[in-house]
Amino acid sequence: MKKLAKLLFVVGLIVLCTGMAFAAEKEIRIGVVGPMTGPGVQYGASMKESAQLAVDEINAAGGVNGRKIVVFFEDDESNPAKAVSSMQKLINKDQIAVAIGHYNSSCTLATMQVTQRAKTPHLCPISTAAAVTESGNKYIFRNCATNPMQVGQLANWAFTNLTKDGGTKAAVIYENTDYGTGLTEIFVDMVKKNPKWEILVQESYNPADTDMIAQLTKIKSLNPDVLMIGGNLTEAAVIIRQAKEIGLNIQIMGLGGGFSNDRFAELAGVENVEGIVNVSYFEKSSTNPLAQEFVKNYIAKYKKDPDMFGAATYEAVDIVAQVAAKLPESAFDNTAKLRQAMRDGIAGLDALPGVQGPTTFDETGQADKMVYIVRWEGGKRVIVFP
Amino acid sequence: MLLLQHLFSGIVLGCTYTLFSLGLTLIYGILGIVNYAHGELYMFGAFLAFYAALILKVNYFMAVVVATIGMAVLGYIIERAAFRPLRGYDDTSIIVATIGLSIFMQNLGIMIFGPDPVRLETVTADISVNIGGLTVGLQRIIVVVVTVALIVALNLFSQKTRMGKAMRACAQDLTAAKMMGININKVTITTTIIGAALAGIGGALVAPLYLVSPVMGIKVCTKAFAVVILGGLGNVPGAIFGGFLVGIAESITAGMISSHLRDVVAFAILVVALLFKPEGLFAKHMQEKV
Repeated sequence: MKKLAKLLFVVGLIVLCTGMAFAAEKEIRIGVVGPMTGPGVQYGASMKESAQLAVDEINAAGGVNGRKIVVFFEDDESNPAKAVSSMQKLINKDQIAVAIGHYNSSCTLATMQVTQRAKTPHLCPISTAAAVTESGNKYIFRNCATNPMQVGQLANWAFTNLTKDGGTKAAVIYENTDYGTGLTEIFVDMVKKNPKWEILVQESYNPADTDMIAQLTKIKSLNPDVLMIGGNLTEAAVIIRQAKEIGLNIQIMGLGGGFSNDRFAELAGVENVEGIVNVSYFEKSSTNPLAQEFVKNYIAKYKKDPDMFGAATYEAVDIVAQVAAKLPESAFDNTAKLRQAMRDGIAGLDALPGVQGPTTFDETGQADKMVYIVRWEGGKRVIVFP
Repeated sequence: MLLLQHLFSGIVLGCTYTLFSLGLTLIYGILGIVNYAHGELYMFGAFLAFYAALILKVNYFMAVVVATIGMAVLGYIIERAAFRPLRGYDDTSIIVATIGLSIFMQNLGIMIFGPDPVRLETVTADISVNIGGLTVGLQRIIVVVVTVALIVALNLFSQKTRMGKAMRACAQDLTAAKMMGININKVTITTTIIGAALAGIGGALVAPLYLVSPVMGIKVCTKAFAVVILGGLGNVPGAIFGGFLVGIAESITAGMISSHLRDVVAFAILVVALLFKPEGLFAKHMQEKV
């Protein structure tokens, strides 16, 4: 009797699931996965808040042609294994049409194979590792700039604005990780192609190092014009303070996007960050009207400033809504059909306006996104490009 | 000139290693406890100084004093709550217990202070002076002066006072010391308080130079173990010598050869030293704990 009940239960479940998969879609289900707990919790929180803001705005305005957007949040704990099981849950149980995630590149690289197998479009708003869009995966789309794009823009800005008649000598100090060495290699390659620039020295440090005096003393003795830092906020704050301490008063630039955070000025000291130039994905002082609207609504809802990760996630949700709005009614026959239609719609976007600027994906799924170049002035970031 | 500059930063680095290692080696020498939680004492010291400056609005020197007193109290609590119950257990149990204490204190730090690093602002951190062509931060000079003063004070204490003599007796032979009527509990409490206070002062001294964060103790703790083993576990002059040796070697290697080798050099010295003198550079005989 017990066995029969179990069997009936299983059969019932199967009927329910297949029924779900073949019923016409009355809503658009999306999944947002990020580090909701663990070391990246503040970034996961930004993703969640911004996605919720976007969904609320879209649904309050009547949804997408009458269909509400339903968002499911999942946690990846910054752990690729957890990320995969969260993504499988979203795809198999929640039957999402589009996945949005993750913060960590390692997580995106793991789950993009899950979404590819399920033929589900996957928007990646934050992870910057170049490999994400280099694997030939047809379901991954990234609406932020990669590491090479960021360094490329910064280097070009430096070549235009900092080249001296007698040639410019640069020194690099970088974090001894994939991230730091990756940024440095791209920059060094660009400098090699510019006859007016040369790299004097490349020094490294390890994450959590606290004493960079030795490296900086060596750099100072070689007398460079520019110091590039390829690393993250915490160590960069230490580097900048210790550079000032030993009297290394030259132009300092940040190769990555990590310094574009108000905490940077707090940790390094407002007077020490003055004049530093670095890359930023999003600035609340942006003149883009969509960005201004987003900043205003975010502050109204959460009583704090949005960050670049929030802006990218907000834009991803907006891309989903804009693409869905253009789909024919037949695309909503079932989940599989909707997923395919969404993928094709996202791939076919042409300069769709968004909070981070227009989005067009190339054949690899990478959007040609501009980053900002900002300069620190009086503890605030001022956009110097574009 | 460049070598001199590197030498000076090596001495400063050596001072921080020495302050840290002194407590570590004292506690091992007298209590027989390998204290993996020493890095967290250093972290608490730095945070105490930070919050003393922030909340009590005292100047930096008072903040260091507050941190030292706070750490002495914490040392007392740790001795009573964690170290004393461990007396008589085998080394493995003690090591596991102090690793546990380290994880507990680190997470307690994250809970109380939050996971983000903070900066202790002082006037001394941003002033640099030029001495004969060397650019030297004022805070770094303070680190050197305070460390040297503490080493002298510790030496006087252990040579001239009754408690100092009792500590040395306990380090030589705990059972014999007990039979001579030395109050072991008093000695172990004093040792832990001194060790914790030294770690705390170390943390408070580097707080204006580096950033203060709940994980700041981990890295310095690994280095300090190299220092202490290099000098001989439980050996005070060994810890001082080892601290300065590792600090200077690191600084000169990173500055004159390659920054990639920075962390390699400390442990390379350790390996070479252990090959030729496995009991440590300063130890007179291998200590056998039965």
